Amino acid sequence: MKKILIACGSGVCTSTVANQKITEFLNSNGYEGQFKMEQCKVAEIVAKSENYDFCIATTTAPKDAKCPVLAGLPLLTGMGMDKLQEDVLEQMKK
Amino acid sequence: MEQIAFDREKKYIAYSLSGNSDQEVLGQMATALFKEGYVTEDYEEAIKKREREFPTGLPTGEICVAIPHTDPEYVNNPAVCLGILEKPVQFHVMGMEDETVDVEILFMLAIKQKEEQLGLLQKLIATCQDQEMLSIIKKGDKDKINKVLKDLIN
Repeated sequence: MKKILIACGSGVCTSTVANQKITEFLNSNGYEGQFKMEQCKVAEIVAKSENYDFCIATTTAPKDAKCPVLAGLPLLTGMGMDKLQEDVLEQMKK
Repeated sequence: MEQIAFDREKKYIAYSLSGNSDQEVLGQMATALFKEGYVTEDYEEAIKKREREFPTGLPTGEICVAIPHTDPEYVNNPAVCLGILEKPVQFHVMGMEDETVDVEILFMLAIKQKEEQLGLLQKLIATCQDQEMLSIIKKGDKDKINKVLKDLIN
């Protein structure tokens, strides 16, 4: 079971969109039921990151997170999605 | 600042406006939302501060957008305020603090609960990724703007 943290400034806005898009993407790639997502504020990343496999942040993330952090901007702009999806799959295979 | 559309029941307002900085246009739009009772008086300061800390400019292509928002505690009733800028205003890019983007369309969000807003957010992001739709919005035709905003909120 992979644990994924999804962060944005407030933990309720763009992370909600990111959560839904990543969930859809992972389900369609055969990962249904094999991951757990939690949304949080970007300010909570450092404290929470220890317990997660990786994080996707739509806003600037702190550099001292204890898990890998991927930039979630492509989920909002549509630009650079291929690379992000590749990176997400790579994290899932670890 | 000129009002283009307003639907209290559907909870949206649209303005055409101009300003010299991101903070200035945010202030104008936040004041409008406050005057209509959607947000608290502190919303304006909160949204400006949030934009400085966590910018919301999105490099979506030829026409770029920003989606300023802040914490639910400053919101009385959820609403969307559309701002069409007469000339582009520089915003910082979300998650990339060194990069800027010339924004022409703003969707200022007054969000109360994430579960209730998911449909709106999904449609909003889809709209932001649709240059054809952004081009229609930018032209500022009242009927078309009403339709776009109704579709967004329903």
